[in-house]
Amino acid sequence: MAWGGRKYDAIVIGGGHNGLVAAACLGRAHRRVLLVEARDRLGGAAATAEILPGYRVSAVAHLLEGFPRRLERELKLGKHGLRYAARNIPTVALDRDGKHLLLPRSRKEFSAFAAHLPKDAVAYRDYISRLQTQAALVAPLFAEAPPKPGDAEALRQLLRRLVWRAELGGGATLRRLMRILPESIGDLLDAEFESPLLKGALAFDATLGGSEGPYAPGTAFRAVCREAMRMQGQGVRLPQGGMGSVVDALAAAVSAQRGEIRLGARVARILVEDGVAAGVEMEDGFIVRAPLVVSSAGPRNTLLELLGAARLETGPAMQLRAPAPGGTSAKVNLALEGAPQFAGLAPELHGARLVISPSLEELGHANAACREGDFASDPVMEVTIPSMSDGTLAPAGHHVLSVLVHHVPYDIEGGWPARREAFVQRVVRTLEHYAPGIGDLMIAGEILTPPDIETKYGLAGGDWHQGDVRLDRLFGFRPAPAFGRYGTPVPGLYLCGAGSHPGGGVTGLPGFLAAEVIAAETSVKRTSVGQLDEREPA
Amino acid sequence: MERRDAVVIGAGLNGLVAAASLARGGLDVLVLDRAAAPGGVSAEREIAPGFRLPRYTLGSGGLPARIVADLDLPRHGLRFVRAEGGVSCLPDGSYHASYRDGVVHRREIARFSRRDADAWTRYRRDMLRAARGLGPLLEGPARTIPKGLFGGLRARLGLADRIAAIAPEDVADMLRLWTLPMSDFLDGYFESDVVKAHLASAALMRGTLGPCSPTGASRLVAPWIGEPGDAMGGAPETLLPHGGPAALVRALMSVIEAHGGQVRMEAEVTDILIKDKVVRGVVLANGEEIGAGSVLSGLDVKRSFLSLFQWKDLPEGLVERVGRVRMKGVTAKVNLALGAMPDFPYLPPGCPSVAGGLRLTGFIPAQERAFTDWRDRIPPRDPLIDVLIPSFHDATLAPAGMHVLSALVQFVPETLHEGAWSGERRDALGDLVIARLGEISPGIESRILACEVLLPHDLESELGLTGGDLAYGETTLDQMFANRPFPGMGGAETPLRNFYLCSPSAHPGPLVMGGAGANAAAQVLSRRRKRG
Repeated sequence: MAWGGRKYDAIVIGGGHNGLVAAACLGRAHRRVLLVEARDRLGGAAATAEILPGYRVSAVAHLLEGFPRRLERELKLGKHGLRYAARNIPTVALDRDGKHLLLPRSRKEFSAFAAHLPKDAVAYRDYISRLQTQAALVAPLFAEAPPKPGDAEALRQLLRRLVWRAELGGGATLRRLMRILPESIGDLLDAEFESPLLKGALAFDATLGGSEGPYAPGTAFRAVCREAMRMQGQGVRLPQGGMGSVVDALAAAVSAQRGEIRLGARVARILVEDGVAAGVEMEDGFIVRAPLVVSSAGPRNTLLELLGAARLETGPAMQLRAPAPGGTSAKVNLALEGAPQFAGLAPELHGARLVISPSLEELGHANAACREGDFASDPVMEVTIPSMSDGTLAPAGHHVLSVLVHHVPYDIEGGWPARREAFVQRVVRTLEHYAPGIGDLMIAGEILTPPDIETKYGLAGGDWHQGDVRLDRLFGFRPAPAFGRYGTPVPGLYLCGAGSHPGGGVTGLPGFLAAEVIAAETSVKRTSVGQLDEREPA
Repeated sequence: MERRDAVVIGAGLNGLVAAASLARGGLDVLVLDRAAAPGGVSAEREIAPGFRLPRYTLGSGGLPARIVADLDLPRHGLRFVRAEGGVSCLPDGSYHASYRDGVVHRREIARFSRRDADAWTRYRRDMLRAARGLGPLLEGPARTIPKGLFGGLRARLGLADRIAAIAPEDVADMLRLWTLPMSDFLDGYFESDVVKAHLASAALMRGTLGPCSPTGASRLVAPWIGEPGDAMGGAPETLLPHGGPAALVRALMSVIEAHGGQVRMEAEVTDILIKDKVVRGVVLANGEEIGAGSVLSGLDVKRSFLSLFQWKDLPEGLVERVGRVRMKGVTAKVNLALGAMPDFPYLPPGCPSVAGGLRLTGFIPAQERAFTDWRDRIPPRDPLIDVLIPSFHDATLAPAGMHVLSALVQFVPETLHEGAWSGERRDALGDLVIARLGEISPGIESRILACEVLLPHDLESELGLTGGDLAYGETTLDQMFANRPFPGMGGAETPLRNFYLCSPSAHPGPLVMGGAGANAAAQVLSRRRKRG
């Protein structure tokens, strides 16, 4: 009923960025919110960690790509301390022989690109404009809650809007999208471009975060989805002070809405009384009551363990069991006693997003190795040097380097404890090829394998999507057909994590849209609003 | 100049179906083919004196009932034999047979898992439902999202309404079937690895997807298309033409001739006569010109456009679009002449399913490895092998007491990573297949009188099939239905007036045998009726 004698309207389980967004938005909708986080810090996979005293880096996720402007404004995150060290960060595809490729953002950059790849330049411009038209069609779907399962009228309205939008964007868009839906990004790029480097980098972006290779059908649509997610935000950005500062700003926003945050409070189970959610029981037996329970923990964990599979019907429970979440990315963070020099890379581009994925073949081999339970001999990865644009992360003249390695298996042959060292060697060897001498600059490093990400940052299977973004688990069918639109079979229990629409990445959208749905579906009790008003600000 | 109502290029199965339909429709039809005998891919050849079999395909499919009835083929001597659904032999020595009788089939599954035997009923129901839903889409030209502003927009909005009206559970079912990999989809029904490998191996044959490739599950539906779904409750049957594909070809030729059509062999078409973007006829290799009201090409889409036409005669952008159609060889063929009946000591004696074919396959991870080997263009190490012994049904194919064996080897790359196929590589593939056969039929090596290995590039050089792709274009979903052979064509009618595609490069592809030919003929006839 209360913690220290207070009453709550809603309990949010999990203090990852989606949980925080949900809590802050529910607060804005006049709910008295308690957020409980099992660990002793907030943020989940969005966190800043210290490699060495004085060297700080975004521990897991390292770039903001689709964090909506709307969310930033509504929660006044700027006022709560969110600053950007860099906006609209360019992407550079690193080439083995130093002929790096800057993916153009402006007319000026395009002419340099065209001089570099005369054969592919026009095709690239067409490709990007087609991709953006298609993404613009899909993007609004990511910015709204999916229609309620079974609500044919809402779905009809949505599909009709889609048809109209396609019509306005030129009639061919819908037909092109139908073609792209089952296509593989590899086949699509092979038909358009010649440069292996360009193809490798574009396919890397389309497949990042998933378990599929570049020639898996359906990956072309992922490129569209990713572009649509990026459209929610304002280009690729780097928060000042690492990802942790996004979380700090969100936590401040929760407090500003008089929400309460409890750390080190692990939920043991979700209480259900008379068929409706009634609160949570903490691990130490303490019971907190509230008519609304909103979980940003993984859907499997929330529903099969905290709620209990026995409370679900067989069908929906089965839908949750498969597929098991499995992350395919590892993170390597390095502290450097000097500025790394990437051979052939202009000094001003050292702050860019550097993609190492030289060709579709190598991306494919990395994926094949991952499926066989091994890491690739030439790992594909995304490298950022956040300290180039953010001086607060490392002592002057020193740097931190953040590497996201893609296609790294959760279960590795021989076991991770035995293979960790070899993996780091492999990553450093690859980096050394592009930035000779980087090995000598290293003073400390941290490696996070998928199991490490699971245990340290609480992502089941090390999967930042809380369940692979499979084509049959999108929109209203995410995380599973029975649990679309954030609701569960238990009234009062909602999901708001990356497992729900629209999915993973540091976007806050699942939390934001879940709060919107909850606010619309439940009413505020007068009494609690009264209490909220009487209470002194913290 | 000789003039015909319609000229069909290529006397393959689809070309003959198209010609037969047109002849029945009252047109004066001429079929031209450069080979000495009709049949194309399905042609029967002698591999050793007295041993005949369909050289390039397994010859294990029958025409759909609709086409058989439309062309009145039984009156022209065509008979079908029903064969039970086939046997999979797995490396651990186990086997899984398919039976038409549901009770027997479920008992077979229960050898591996009782739960799976119950799941079979659910699986069968879902497959039949999906196949029935697919049926109308496979008849006639592909449905496209309508073009045009006013009428088109109304149709598109109407489509949105119809989709919204589908029950969400059905949408979820459809999504799973059309987007999931086979392995994940089968996991939703079965627990036994043998059962899953058996179903997946059948669906993998001739395709370019692995068991773990997304959208692969939709291939599982193929054998259920046209299945009546009666009370038998077992696996779908295969209908084999009695006498093999050669009998099918004979019956079709007989229909064409009975209706005044003509088939001319050893007549290679080298050019198409075209004037003002309208096709007017064909030119033969010997320089002879034949005028035609309609020209139907039974060649694959690439050869049809890129080698029959002067590129300058083609509409803007067509060459590029045709060039982008993916055609990849994925199967090799090994033909054996056997001096004696092969034994299968590990299978139950007299098992009727052997008639439907034998499949030598690994479990799903091994199938995926075979697929990745193909994708990496490595010579197959552990391919899937589909075996049919056609002389079991038709004793005339081999001398008395002797047999012909036909094996389709899946996941054989057209070109190797290390370069072209060498003679040793080819022999190694033959030896590998024979060794695998020896595992289920000990002593088969000593009974082999003749062996022939046909690689994808042999199919290309002998038949003119681009890439040696027996599917006439990859059958991934982005190249099926409205996108087959390429977006914007989606049917037999091409951007060139009077020129039609009647090969499986066009909708519905290899999914329905003879379907592309029947579709093209229907379009020609309806176009003529419209013109009066």
